[in-house]
Amino acid sequence: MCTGLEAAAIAAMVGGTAIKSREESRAAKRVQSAIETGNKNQDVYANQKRDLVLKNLKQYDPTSRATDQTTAQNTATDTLAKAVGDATGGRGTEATGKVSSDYLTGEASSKANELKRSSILATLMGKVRGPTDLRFNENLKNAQFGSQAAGVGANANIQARADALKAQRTGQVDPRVMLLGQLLSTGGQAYATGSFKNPKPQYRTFDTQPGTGYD
Amino acid sequence: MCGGGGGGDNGAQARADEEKSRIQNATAQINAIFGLTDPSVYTVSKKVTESVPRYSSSGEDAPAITGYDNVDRYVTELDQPLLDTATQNKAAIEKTYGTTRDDILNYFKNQLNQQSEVANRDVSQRLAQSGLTGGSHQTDTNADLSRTYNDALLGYTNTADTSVNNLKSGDEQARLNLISQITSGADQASAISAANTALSNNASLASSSAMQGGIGNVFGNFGSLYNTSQETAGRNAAYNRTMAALGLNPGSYSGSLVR
Repeated sequence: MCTGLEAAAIAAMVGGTAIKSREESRAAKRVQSAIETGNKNQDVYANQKRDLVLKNLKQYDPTSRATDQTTAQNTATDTLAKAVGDATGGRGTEATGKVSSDYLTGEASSKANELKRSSILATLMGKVRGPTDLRFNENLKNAQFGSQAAGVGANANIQARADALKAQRTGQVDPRVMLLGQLLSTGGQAYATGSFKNPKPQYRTFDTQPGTGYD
Repeated sequence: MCGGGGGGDNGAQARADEEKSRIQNATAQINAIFGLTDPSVYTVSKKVTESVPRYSSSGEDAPAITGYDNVDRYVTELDQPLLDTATQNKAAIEKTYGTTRDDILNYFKNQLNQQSEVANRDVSQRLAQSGLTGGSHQTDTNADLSRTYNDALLGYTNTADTSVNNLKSGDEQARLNLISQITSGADQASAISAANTALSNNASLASSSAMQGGIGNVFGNFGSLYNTSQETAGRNAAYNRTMAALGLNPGSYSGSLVR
């Protein structure tokens, strides 16, 4: 039968262990919570990046892309036609002085025909260039989206490091609580084991009979 | 209880399922835009919430239902509307590729026809100057012209097809890059890599342009015929003058000295 002090020692020992255990359990939960928060943060960044990709995807929609290709073709055609329209050289020297009206008519017709021919070629060239120009522009947009996604990725990395640090720190147990638990546990244990290992000595008396000889 | 986090893993499996679902659905969207019509691509996962009975504690012979929990789970099913969209997109994409091929071929044919016209005109003129019109030489020359034209046309048809294939290859590369970005999450390095790939694709585009090098001088070989015919005309004229000086009848010779 243990005394009140002994019971208190045992309670302190158990209580101290429980305090330490609870603090460790809380720390583990805090770590778990911090890891979950970190994962959720990473999910947010991953979704941001996916949203960027899906936003970029819109430029590949076949309907709008066909329109974009036509626009690129027209732009290229205009640029080429302007280059020809602005040009003044290339044609041979015209005869001057007294020349026939047939010559003048022919020369004018020839000029008009060549201009028309150049215009047709510019249109054809524009149509050939359009698809390539379109993809060139798309790739520039891809690179822009890529750089934005890299920015999101950089933020994700920074956040991941911060979250890892938070998880590390929240995983640390409160040394005061642990000390309290340790003191209670150790103290209680010391008292309890001291009480049980050093009981009040009880002596037994033996009747000793002296021997009478050896066999 | 709002479910999905079963298994005592604090929702890790639910989050993983949701992530997989997002990736699968985003990938399907990309494939639909690029007109992939393989149905297996459109087997997307969808979240469904099910009401699951909650039983009384175990150990009883016939556990009673004490309530119901809503549990989220993901099921895979064919997204038919997305597949239909992909089929429509494929038709639109093929139409654009076809138009592009025709445009490229027309560009080359236009130049080829012009050169052919000039070559025919020059050859006719030279044959006439050489007095070879209507002869077997004209037939041979016409055959040469026709062969040169047809060979060039076949070559440019190949060029048009190759150019469209290059565009298709570039578009496929774009599709794969987008999918790669979807699957790589928020990874920074992969995003930078995607941006670099996009720019290097532009360098490839410039070098693979259909107009690279242009059409060149298809009927260039007929230039030698022109020189030859000029030379022939000169020799004939000299011959005729010589014959006339000798009092012979140069008009009796209607052929060519040099072929």
